[in-house]
Amino acid sequence: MNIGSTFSISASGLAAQRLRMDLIAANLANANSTESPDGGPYRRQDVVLRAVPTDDPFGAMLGGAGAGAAVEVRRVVSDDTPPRQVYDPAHPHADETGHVAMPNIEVMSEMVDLMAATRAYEANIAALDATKRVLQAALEIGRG
Amino acid sequence: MNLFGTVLNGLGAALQLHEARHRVIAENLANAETPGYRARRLEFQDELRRAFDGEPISKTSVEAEVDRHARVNADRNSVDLDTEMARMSENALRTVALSRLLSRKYATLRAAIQGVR
Repeated sequence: MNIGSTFSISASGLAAQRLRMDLIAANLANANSTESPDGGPYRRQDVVLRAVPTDDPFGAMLGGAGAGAAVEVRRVVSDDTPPRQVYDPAHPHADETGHVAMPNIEVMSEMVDLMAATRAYEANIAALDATKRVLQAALEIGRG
Repeated sequence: MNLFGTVLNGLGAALQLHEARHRVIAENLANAETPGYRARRLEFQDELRRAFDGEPISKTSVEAEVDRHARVNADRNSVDLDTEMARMSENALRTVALSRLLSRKYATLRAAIQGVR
């Protein structure tokens, strides 16, 4: 078995969840940013994850076992739901009715996403650990 | 006479299959949050039995299959983190045990070759 490719599958999971956590952190940090480079309030960012086939010679040898998948971040998308309207006439970005367009970010749901990403990250760490343990045991074969 | 017997073949095949299964579980975990991904399982009892009967592992019959009983959540993903973790622990333990068994088998063979001094 190509154990190196198992490492890279878990690594792809780690990278994807890490990027997701970065975006959630950015969303939380910008929960009150009423200005962004492309005008208007900051928009919530999210990832689109996709399963990608890995090429694995061992799997190919075993038939379908290699038709498996690592994960990749297909793209980062902006959430197009309309901004929250908050009444704050004193705000420099208030419109003529006194409303300010605030980012479309729900702090609660961001926190929930953050927890899901953390758990998924930990699961991939555990998979890496198990791969390491298995590989170590394989190295011990025939030593004693 | 077959000097090494079918046990070595069987153990080797078992290790190979367990490592392939470990890989499938790692894939499921990596895709635990991928919308539309379906959890896959690698089952190989029959293959293993045949390997211990001295047949080589066939190239096509061991294939990871989509688990049709797994519950699919709102984003059409059927990976259950707890199930996968449990399966991974069990599978890793079995793999380590198999490696040790194989080690012992080789040690016995070595003793047989060298004789008792």
